[in-house]
Amino acid sequence: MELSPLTWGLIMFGTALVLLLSGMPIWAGLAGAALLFIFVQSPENLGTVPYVIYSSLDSFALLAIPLFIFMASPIANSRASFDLYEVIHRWLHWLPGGIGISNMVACAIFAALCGSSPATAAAIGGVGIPEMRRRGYPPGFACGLICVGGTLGILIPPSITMIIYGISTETSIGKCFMAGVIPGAVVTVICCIWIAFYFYFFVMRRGRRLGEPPPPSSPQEAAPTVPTEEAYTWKDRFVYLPRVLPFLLIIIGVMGSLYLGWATPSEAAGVGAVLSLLFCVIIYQAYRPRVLKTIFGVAINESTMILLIMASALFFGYALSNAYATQALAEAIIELPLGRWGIMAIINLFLLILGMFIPPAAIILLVAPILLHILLPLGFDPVWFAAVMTLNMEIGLVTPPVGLNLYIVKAIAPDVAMSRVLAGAAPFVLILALGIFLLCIFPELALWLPGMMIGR
Amino acid sequence: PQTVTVTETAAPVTVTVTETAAVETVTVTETAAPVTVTKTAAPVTVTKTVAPSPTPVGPPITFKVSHQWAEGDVRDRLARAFGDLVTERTGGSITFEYYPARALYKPKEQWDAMRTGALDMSVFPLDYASGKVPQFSITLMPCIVPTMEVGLSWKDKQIGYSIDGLCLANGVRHVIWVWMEGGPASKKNQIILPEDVAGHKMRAAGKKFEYMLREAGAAITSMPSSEIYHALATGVLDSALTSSGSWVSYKLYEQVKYINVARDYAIWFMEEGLYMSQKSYDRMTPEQKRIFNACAAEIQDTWVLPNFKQAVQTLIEVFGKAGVEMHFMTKSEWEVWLKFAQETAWKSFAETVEGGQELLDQALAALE
Amino acid sequence: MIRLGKRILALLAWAIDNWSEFTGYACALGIFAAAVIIVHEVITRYARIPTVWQTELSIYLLMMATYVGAAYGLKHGGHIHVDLVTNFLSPRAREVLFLVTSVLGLIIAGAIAWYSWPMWWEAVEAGYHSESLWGPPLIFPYILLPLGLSFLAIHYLVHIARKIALVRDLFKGSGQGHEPSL
Ligand code: NA
Ligand code: NA
Repeated sequence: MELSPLTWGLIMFGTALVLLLSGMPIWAGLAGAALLFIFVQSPENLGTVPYVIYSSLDSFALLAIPLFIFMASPIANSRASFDLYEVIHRWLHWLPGGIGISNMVACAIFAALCGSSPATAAAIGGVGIPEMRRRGYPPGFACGLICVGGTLGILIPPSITMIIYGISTETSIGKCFMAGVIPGAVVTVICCIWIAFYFYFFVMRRGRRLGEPPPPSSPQEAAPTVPTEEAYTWKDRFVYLPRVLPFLLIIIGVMGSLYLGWATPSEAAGVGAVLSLLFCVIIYQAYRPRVLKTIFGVAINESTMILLIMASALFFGYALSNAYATQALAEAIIELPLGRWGIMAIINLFLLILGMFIPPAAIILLVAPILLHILLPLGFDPVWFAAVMTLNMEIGLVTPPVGLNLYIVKAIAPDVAMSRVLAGAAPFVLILALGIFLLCIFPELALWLPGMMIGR
Repeated sequence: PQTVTVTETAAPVTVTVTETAAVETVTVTETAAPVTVTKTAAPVTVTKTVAPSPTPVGPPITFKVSHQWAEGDVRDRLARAFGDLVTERTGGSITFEYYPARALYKPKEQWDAMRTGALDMSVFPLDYASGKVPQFSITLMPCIVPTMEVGLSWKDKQIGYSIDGLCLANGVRHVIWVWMEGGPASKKNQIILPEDVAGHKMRAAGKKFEYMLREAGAAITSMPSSEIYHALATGVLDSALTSSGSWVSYKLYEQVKYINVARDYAIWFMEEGLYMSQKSYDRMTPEQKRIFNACAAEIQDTWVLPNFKQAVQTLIEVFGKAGVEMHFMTKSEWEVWLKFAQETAWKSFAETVEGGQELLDQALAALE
Repeated sequence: MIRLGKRILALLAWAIDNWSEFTGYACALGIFAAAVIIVHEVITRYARIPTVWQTELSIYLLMMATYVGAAYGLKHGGHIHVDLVTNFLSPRAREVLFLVTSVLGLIIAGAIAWYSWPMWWEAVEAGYHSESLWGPPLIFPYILLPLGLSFLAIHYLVHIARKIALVRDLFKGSGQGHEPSL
């Protein structure tokens, strides 16, 4: 029976989805589907499978991924992340919703040290969620805030997904990094405004008016008290301030070596990894075998997971291409009579749907090259699209059924119902969507900095 | 001593064809040392033109063609021009599926995929396989070819037979010869002679070039061509060496002040022709093979040179507009580089690769 | 006799567990070594001292971390999966499904290992080298994929044995579903 490439493609996507939903590891689901279809369609190609998988990781640019993970791990797995959080809190607590805003800003700063979103959510959420709940923040709101705050990890450089995007579309990774800086700052600021607004109108006013705490969100949750914000003197603030110095030095070391011309992105990641471990060993006494084992163990666990998914996603992409499905799909989209922005809207919708089911790294690997194939002739800038796609991927990290950040937050606060987390996260997700919208209206948000720093 | 012989019976020949069995016979003989690589054959004579066929010739076959460049790149157009011609001349019995922009295989994998028969055809920089067949380094050797015409003449010379023989010994056929030129450009100073790169942080394309430039005092950094722009912008690189096509497509004229244009003479030439898996080739009937080879000859003679010469013209136009200071390498400058290359890269090739000296001698002979 | 068999199996599981643990830390050290190598390269380049092998060696360390580190990832639950459907299943059904998917995982890891050993063997026989200037023999990087996936498949055996014990436990009616020691 002769099936059209498009039909094959749909069958293959469907099979992969079923395998993924069966609860098998993501890498195994993708690799299994790819193996199955190569076996069915062209068994004579099975001999090239090892070459395809081997060379999927044969890239110096990819090395930035485990290195940025190794840069974040010592900070996340020592007292360092607590200190980072504490300093920011001492300086920002006076704002309405100060502790929430502190969490958001801590996420943004940690994002500048870390290339992955789940890692950012885990590092800041581990300290921040219990703190916020202790001070009477609605648990769903606290969890939702960390979910979305964590996603900044891939928008603010360094960013693992931007690296993957740069590799798979042959776009400069350095430029992609820069494209995320201003959108990242804008999203952070809007989120902070929303936190202050929410806190002022929904928590403080209601608390005062009713003279009682907001209704408990689930039976297991302890009834929260009216949120309290303690005061810090200027002395408290300045005494703690030097503790952010190591972080600033690492950020300067990485970004400096990247933009002052000492290092390529992968090399900057190497510099960051060495600096980070060095600081944590010296300042936080992370030289004890137990601590070192945690730092290395967590980092290798995350690295091997992401890179295995990358390798198998590329392998699945190979199987799709081998059936000519990718090309058929791209041709089908190009022929839609929608115009430039119509196609951009469809693509974002398409990414949103993919983002519900597939983690960002795999999506970018599977579709970014095809999408650019569609977008470049329409006059869209690949660096600008890196920022748009990243924002879209951030949404995907928080949307069920598959949202890595949801899992992370659930692990930190297992007693909070998923529906509460989702309700708390929803407004922040709208802010991310607003970010995409703003980028479409003002492309300069993404393009000004890359053009500024490395134009002539 | 190992002998690989690929034999093929001649097609039932029609009017203009002068295709002898010997043409398709390749013998790779390995004696003790040094290895001699020879293709015992008279120059190939194939029909130059075949009329389009109104009815399909032979059973339907679809070939997958893979390469790493964007759609519309000259190498993409080469594959499609050849494919369209074959489809037309076979009355539609042979069709092609194109996978540009590494959609199917990554660049280096293509060799293994063709070897094993998983991939039918590829526009492939032969040097990418030089880890597996070290002799292929000769196709990305400094100053081995001064001009595109000399490079294309390899096809009908001993050096060409040797390379094609090595390909066939690995189950891969060389269908069309293509050379791409390139040159150095810099932010610091014009690179005219080897001593001009001393102290430069530099990206070279190809290991023999890395070796030569290192010997000239440059600090070499390896990176994919997509990172050159950013590296030049930030100062990770002072200079780079890449193909004329890449200089333009990555907008590198925004970053460099000086370029040595490979218009008349070039130190950097890379063979990146059209290759085919022998297993795929054998799927064709003799008549289909005859037409296929005739189309290859036609594209080789009429299409390759004018289209591939275009890249350097575009470069001159674009870099001129951007105000980059241009230098056009002269014969005497090229000879200085040749001498330097012979003392460095060629020497190491001859010393480390079996049969290397012999290949170099054959390449030198092709210069005359 | 049965007791002896059980003890041998337990010993084997213990050995595999520890081996996976060891490879994990070895891979982590490999990545850290890559970081140090890269810093070295940045410094030497800044001093305009030419370098040859750093980039390539660090890529091989990356491959080692991915493929050889995979077994450690499996041991520590690093192989993330989609729990959308599985969360709605009863504990028994869920564990049975996990058992099935683990067997599939074993088959997939085993199949990839099966197809990649010949790639390595070919490099051994033909004496392939990397096409870079440094040009190390390809037998070293080429072995990482088959070796790593073989380790992963072996660890899957222990993983599956534990799942079987767990499922048997669940269906015996104790219903606790704790991970039994093996
Ligand atoms: Na980040
Ligand atoms: Na999602």
